[in-house]
Amino acid sequence: MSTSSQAGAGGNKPSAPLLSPVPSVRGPNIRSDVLLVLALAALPMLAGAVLPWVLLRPNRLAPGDYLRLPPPLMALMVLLALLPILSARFTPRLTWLAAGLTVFTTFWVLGQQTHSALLGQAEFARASAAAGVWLFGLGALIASYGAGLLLAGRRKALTWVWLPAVLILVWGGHLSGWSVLVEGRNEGPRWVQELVQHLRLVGTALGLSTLIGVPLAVWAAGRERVAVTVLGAANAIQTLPSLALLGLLIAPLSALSNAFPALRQAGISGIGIAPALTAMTLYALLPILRNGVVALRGVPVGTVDAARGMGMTGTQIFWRVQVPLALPVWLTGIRQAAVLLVGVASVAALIGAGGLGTYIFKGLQSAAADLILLGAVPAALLAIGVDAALRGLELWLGRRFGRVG
Amino acid sequence: MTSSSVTATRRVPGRRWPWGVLVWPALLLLCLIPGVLPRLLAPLNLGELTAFDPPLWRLTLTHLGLVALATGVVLLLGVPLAIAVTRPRREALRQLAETLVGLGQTVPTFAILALAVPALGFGWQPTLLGLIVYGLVPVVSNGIAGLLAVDASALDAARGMGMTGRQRLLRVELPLALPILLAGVRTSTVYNVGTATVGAALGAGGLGEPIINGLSQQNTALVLVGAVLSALLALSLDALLGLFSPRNQ
Amino acid sequence: MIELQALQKRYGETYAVRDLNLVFAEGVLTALLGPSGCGKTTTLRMINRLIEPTGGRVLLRGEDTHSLKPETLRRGIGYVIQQIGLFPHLNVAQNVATVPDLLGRPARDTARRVDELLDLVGLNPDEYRHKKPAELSGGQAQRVGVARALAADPPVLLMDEPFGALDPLARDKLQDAFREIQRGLKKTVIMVTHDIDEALRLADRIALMNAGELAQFGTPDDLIHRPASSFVRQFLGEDAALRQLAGRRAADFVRPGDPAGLPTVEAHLNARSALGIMLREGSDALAVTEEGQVTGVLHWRDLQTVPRLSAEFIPDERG
Repeated sequence: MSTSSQAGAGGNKPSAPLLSPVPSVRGPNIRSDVLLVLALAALPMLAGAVLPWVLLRPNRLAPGDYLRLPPPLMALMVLLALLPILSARFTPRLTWLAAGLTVFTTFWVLGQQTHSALLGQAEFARASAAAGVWLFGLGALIASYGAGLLLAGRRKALTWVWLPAVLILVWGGHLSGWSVLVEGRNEGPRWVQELVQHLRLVGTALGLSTLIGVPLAVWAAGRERVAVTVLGAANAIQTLPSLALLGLLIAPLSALSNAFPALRQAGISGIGIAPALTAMTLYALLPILRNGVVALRGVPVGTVDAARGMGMTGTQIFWRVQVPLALPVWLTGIRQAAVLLVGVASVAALIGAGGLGTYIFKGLQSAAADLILLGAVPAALLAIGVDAALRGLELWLGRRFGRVG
Repeated sequence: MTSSSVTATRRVPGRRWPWGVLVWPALLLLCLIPGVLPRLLAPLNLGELTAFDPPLWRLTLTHLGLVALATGVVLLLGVPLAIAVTRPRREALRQLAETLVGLGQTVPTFAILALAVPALGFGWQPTLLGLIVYGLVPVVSNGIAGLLAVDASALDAARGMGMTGRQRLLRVELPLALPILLAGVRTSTVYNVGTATVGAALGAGGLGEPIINGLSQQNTALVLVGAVLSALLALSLDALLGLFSPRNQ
Repeated sequence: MIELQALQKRYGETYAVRDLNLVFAEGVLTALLGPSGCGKTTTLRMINRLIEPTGGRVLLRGEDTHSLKPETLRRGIGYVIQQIGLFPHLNVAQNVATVPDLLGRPARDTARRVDELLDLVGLNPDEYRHKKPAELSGGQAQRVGVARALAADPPVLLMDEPFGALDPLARDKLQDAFREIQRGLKKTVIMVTHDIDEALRLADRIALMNAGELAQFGTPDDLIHRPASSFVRQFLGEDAALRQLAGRRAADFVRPGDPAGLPTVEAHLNARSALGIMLREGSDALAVTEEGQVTGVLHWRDLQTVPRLSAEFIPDERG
């Protein structure tokens, strides 16, 4: 038992070649800790199955009725909630399929229930997802994650088997009765516009802060006292609330535009895109600057000395030795900055910079949950996506430049 | 040699009280005296500051209360969670916890807070939920890291001396993991001061309120009042909690 | 080959190196020996101008190094350091090829040269060419470091505590390997070390430094048998002669002769052990055996002067 759990403990890579000739997991070998995760996943799913799934309202603001699943379907969902753990116990090789099925069914039943709830209702009636959907979906995703732990190497991709199926459901209009998608359809092109605006804000601020931060980090890293000051300041500023920082950064701009009306005409004032971009750029500058300094100073002294002793010029040392060695850590800083920016950009809607935050604030003001979801969920997914993409880039670069340890 | 080291220890009787820590709290209290902040900001000519309702000290207390409550819940939930997932043969649970913690770090704070509104309605409740979720991230991740960093030989020695699993946890693992765990609590609390400012958008009150109001009314002076106070609160808590974590860590 | 004339390095009021005059002859391995802080590393780094002197000059083949661009100077001088300093992002072959690439040599020639050098330092090119530095042991990494320094075939090699970071076993093996390499290449080598055994074992000449000044310059025998000052004697220690013997193999002292009736010693044992056998057996000569075959005789009187590596001292059997 202990050896099998250790093989998993070290990560799946070392155990993969050992296991690949035999089926990846066999009944008696099933790891008890994965069963625990699947049991943990079954709890919210069971609770979700019996809780209401749909909130039906005559219009998007009015209070409404909570609708539970019809008893046969409820029984089916209870069974489905237990499917992953039963599968792991008896047919572990198919656990991924069972878990994927629970995720897919969450969406399918949501679509089917919202449609049937809206039957015979007026045009403005809205059917939203209620607690049952969220709990069941949460459990299903955890089950799917747990099932992934039973898979090794490339087979891990099977945990995502539900994703294309769900996309087909959305594409095919099966979920068109769900209130969030109804709102999305109503907003349509405007929503796309805000998404693009969000991306543009993040992209511009990231680009500007990289342009400023990279040379600044190079300059600071070469000077002991400057570097120490920069690192100290960056750490102190990091403890400040981001909203406070946004406010503090906007204040000087606003003061400037008050003092010089010409600036106001040029679009520089305390509100709109310019102050948001300025604040975001300065905010993203911190991790880029900090990681840049740390990375450049982390290049081993012996390596630089050897390069100098071999007759490399300063420029050659910088491009051939320091940059490739600092790049992975530096990219981590840029990734942190990008993820931070996705978040800050959603707050920037408050000062009229647009972006997905517009929907969150609109939703908060009019107490419309669907609008909040329309802004918050894509913002969250965007952050996760940006993080994953840049992580992949880091991994690829790290492997290319061979930083093993 | 020995005599000089003896005098050296005599000269410093125990740890000196680090008075520097009190700089930020003192500044915060100074700014909370009614009339001080408006008078300081008046020369900047950024906007009008009428009397605050509720008063600034109430906002600060609300803010502090939310953060303290969240930190309490985070400790009650996070520490047992970190212990639970670092037991032997809890590998999968630990990976799940680490993945969730990673997600918590990535998903924007504002999105988490906003998503809590449909479930809990307006007011301080969704903010508290957001603070707890967000505050769990550093506590759980540092707790896991600290417990995993405990030297295997120390545990082996403890087992060799006949300690039960419970005794090993209480007498060896937790004391050794404590510094890293406390650093996590500090980070969690300080970040939550920031998160709670965003909570003002959900009607939680607190020091975010002047910032949000100031931003939407284009009153920069109001923004500055909130920004300065919440920054001072964060720095104060950071300094005070720093007392509990060893310097050379 | 290299001449230091009144070389000086001053930091404020303190002298790291003071009025140093030294000649490093061509093809000779000179050890810069001394306690830490004696200025030996500063001296070495002034030769390739990683540190600029505050006085005096360094002549390379009669030419003042100050008239060259520092980068050009350095590309013509091999450099090996204690921290090894391999580039972690490049593989072994790319590391070795660094200076030829900087000099703009054709890639195909360089690739062949890299294989030669890896062979020379005892690493199988097919096995090691594509490895990353992180995959190497300390000894292997420094072998690559030596190969890298030799890549452009520089006449001069500067080594700063090259074997200092290795464990004793790896250090021994690498010192042996380097002695063989130097026997074949006859580079002008200047090696900084604080390890007396290393200096006695490898160096043809020793420049012993103390507090920024030269305490004595000469062959190891000079320093052992004719110390110029009490500092030299103290630094080398009373057992310096024995330690010197410990660094040589019995085979190095073999002469043709009649081995009949003599006690035997195996050729791979060190000369100090051979001396021990002589004392134990009460004999002033030993028969040296290699794999059971007698190869010659080792005499007591030969152990009193130790043969060196440089041209005039190298024993005939290698040519």
